[in-house]
Amino acid sequence: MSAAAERFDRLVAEHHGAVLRICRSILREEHLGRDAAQEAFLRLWRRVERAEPWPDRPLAWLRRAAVSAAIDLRRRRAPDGPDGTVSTVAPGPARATGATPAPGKRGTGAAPGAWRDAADRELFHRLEAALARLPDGQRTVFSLRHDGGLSLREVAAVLGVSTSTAKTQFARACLRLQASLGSDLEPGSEA
Amino acid sequence: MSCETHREELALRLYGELEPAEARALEAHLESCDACRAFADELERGLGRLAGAAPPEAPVPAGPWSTPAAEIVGAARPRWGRAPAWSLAAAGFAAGFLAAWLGLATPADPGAGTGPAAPAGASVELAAGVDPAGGFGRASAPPPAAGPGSLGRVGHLLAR
Repeated sequence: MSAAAERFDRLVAEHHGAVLRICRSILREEHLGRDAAQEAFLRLWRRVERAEPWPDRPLAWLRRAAVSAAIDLRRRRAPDGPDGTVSTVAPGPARATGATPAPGKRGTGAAPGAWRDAADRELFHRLEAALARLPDGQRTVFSLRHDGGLSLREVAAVLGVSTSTAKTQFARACLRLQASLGSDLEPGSEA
Repeated sequence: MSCETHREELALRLYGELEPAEARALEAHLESCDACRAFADELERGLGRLAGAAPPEAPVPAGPWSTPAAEIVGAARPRWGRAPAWSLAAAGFAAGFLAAWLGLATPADPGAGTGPAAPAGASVELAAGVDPAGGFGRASAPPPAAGPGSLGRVGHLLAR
């Protein structure tokens, strides 16, 4: 195995979880997240094949590749936006598939385990539906922060926006989720 | 600063995303604003549960992804493996066509179009520099040259 391939192997082993988590957070489905994660690593592998220099900061590069691959995939799955921009395309998995998300199917891939500990399946379903109703920008920022494991500073970096913009989008997403879910999230309400 | 802005800050505080100076200013406001204080309690009971439940890790799934590097590289390998086959197919087809055109081949000549079956348009695709191992079956998207991909549209959206 060449030195480059060995280095690639190490990067995959080290960062696969983070990349997968980012992709799942955006796409909200396990298998789509895996596809996007693989695409992100393939983009790096193609650089290796072309003998291009390694990114100076491989994790930062991979995060951007993951977000890009996930957004590309989301856009291709919902090509009904009038202008093709993210703001009008892919208003969430529910509309993308034309079906109501099944409890425990969507989102379990984005946030396995921990969310289920905090809410029952019905609440989980409502959460995913509320997320799907968010504007794309807000949903992307919220998902990357809440499920993707990135700080808002890191979210801003991968999206190429200022930290204050990411904070504003995130805070507004939070307030909309709070408003749309109402008291559903409060302790005892899921019973 | 308006109550609406302070409520956005409350959401940021839930996730530990508030700067210390902002947090102090928010505390000062809460001391004097009953409505925001009530909202802070409501937010804590509601969205606060989500913030507290944020998963710390994304487990790598078992199965074929237990060795993801091999999986990924394996997905890219056909690019190398197929190239000679395409080359042979194209060369065989071209040779057969040339032979037929020159009148040197008989109708029973096995070289006339009976080589390895190449998908229609495959040679055109390869000639155009399209990566046959492109992800998601996407043939037209070029790999990123300097960066991992364009996020300009997202940036434009968020900047609104």
